[in-house]
Amino acid sequence: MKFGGRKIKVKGNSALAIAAGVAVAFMFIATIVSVVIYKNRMEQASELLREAEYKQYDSYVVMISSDDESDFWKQVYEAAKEYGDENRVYVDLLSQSVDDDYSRAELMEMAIASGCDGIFIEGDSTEIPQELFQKAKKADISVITLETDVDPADRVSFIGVNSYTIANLYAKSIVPDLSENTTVMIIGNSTAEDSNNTSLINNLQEAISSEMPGEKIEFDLRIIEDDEQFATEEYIQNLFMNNQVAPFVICLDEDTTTSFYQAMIDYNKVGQIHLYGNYKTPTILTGIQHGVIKSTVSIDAESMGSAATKAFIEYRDTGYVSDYINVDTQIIDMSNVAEYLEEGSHE
Amino acid sequence: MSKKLKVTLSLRKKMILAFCTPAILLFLVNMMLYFGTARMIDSLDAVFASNTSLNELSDCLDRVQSATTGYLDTKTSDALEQYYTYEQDYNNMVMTLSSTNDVNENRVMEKNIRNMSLNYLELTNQAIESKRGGNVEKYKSNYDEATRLHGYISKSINSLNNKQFVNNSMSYAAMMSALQTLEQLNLFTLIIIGVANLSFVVLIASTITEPLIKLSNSANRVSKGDFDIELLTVHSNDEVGVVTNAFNKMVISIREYIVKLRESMEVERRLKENELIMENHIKDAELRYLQAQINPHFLFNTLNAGAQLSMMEGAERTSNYLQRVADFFRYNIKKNKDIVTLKEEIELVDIYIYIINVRFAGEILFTKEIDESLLDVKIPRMIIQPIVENSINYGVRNVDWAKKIKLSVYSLEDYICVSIKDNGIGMDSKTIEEILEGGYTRDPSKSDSNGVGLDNCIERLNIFYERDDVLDIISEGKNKGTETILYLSKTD
Repeated sequence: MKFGGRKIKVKGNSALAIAAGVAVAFMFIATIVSVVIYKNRMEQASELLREAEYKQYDSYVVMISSDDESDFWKQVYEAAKEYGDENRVYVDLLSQSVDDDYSRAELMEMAIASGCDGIFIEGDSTEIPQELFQKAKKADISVITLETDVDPADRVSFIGVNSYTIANLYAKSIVPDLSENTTVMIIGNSTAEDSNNTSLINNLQEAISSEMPGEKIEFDLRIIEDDEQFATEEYIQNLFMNNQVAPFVICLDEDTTTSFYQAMIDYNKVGQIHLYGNYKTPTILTGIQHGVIKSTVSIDAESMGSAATKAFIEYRDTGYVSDYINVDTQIIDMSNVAEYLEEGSHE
Repeated sequence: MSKKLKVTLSLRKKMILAFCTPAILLFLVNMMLYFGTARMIDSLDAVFASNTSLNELSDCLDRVQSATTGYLDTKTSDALEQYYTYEQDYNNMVMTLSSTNDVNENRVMEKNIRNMSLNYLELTNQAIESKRGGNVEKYKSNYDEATRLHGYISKSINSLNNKQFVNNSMSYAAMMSALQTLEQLNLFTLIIIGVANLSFVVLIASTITEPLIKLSNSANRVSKGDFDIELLTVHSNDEVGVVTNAFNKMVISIREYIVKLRESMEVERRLKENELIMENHIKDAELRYLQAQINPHFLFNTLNAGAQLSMMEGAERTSNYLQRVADFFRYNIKKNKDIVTLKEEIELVDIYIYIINVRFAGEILFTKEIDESLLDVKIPRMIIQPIVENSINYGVRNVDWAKKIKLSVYSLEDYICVSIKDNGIGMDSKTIEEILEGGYTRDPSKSDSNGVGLDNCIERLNIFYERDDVLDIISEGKNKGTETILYLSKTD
């Protein structure tokens, strides 16, 4: 036999026959192996198109906040969702599902039209028309307000912190630094209802006055109308540029705290102004660590989220739920910031 | 391969097998790969099906909205009909959307779109009804709300479409990569199968041609006259096997034929040789005789003249004697007659004994015991007389007692025996052996024989009868006489 000009001697016919048989066997094996690989690959590919088996939910709840992108509301949502997953409740952040910027009212209208079973909403009676709450009520949708309340008649329950608690926390951290005849500037935004802000300021004044009886403390309340984009940042920049900043500043939300913290650094006012913030974000915690921010009042986002879902389930199952559910709050300052930073790095 | 496993396929079937098996296998593999790939491509089409249906849904929604607006604007029955048609279409499409409570973002969106759409349709219906009923305030508020919902639904469909497009694109990419793998696998498999097929065909072709090559090599050698080839082993019962078997048988037959031919040629050669020797010996005998008798014709005529003269002078005995001597010589010079009857030979012996007895004054007592029926048998000429002469010359000539010679002819089994027995000095066994083997020579000058020796007789007899045991000599020892027996075959 000749292979490429080289002569190979094959011993006898039987060897040739065996070699031929081996060739056939090899062909069959190659075919079978190919078929098996082929089949596996095809199955893998068609697996992609196959409808997956999903878990089922019993209730569908839509969560609407003023800023779904903020760390705080993200944490609230995650906690609500996690608790919901365990209890067959699907919590949906509607703003994330639709590629458009909708106002809270629009989102709420969408949620009602979608036939959801519940709505968790950061209350704002200025932005959200009352008729929407009534429409929801009519459609048997349980509305639970988070952090900021609306008219108790329009909702099932409110999950948040009352202004008295917050005021006391602020008072506790601000009093040791306070001196006589000074001004405390309180900066908030328009999200919170006026009554809320007013009661907070009242409570704050009361708390500080009771801690420091006889001292004359002046309060300068600034509410930022954040109808326009970047309004908070612009407002704070203006404060610094116009040198209207008081030596003691209390910021009532995350954006204000962060913007004020950055402005203090930019305008070299570290050490001259005592800043008391709100919320715990890595930036704010870093600010505390560096001594720029004296302290921050942090509402426990996770417990707020899970409490909301819990309240929904309770109301759905029993028809009753507490009108007001308090959420834990802490003061984070230089003494305990390290453990929160560590916690954050683990997440 | 052992004989038990002999392949019984014919050459044609083998070749069909050799060429069809790879072809069929290659065909099957190709078909499998083809159908697999075709299925894959079909499923690729299905990847973006969900996007297509969402696009259609979105278009239909827009149509419902514009039909609603159209009716509210014009209030024509055409616009109403159009509205109902689109409303029905949209309703049908919406009903195909998921209504399950699956924990999946897209499914939830689908369900939301479905619910919003149903609400939307209800609002448009109410708006239409209010318009027909002339309730301006209600139809306007319904229309406003429906328009807002239309916006939400439209956005939601778009968002879902985008999300599904991303997912589908991922599926598409994954499937494309699978398709690429399959393409490589196809190529790889085809190459492997192709190479294996090629080897298979080459090997099978070799198994078919190998015995043919061997057969043709052997045939070549045979055609050149070399029959000492090794017989070919038969591996299969196909046509090549049959031809190989026939070839083997042919080679064996030719070998046998050659051996037989050689043997028969040998026999013929021997026969011719014998004939030549015989002729040679007769010539030799005659020559010797002629040498001994310078001119037998002259001698014979002279003796005849002597006999006639004796008759005229009245010497009857002399005349008779001379007549016998003449007869003896006449017998000896008979030409062209190598074979005679036993009777003729015995007559010669009688003549010879008469002559010898005249010479030796009747000393030799010659007796015969003859079965007359056996005398017609043919024997070579000049056989018995030389033997008798030998008996006289070497047996009884010099003995002191009565010299007896007895000639007997009798039948013994298949032979006719001619016995010449004397009571002379006898022979020792060694001499007998030498004579029978033809190695014994006597000094011819010492005898007065007619020159034909015993060895000559023996050889001629052996050649004539083609056997060695024609003559036997028996002697019991010194002075106990000698018997020479001829064993002539009864036939010829």
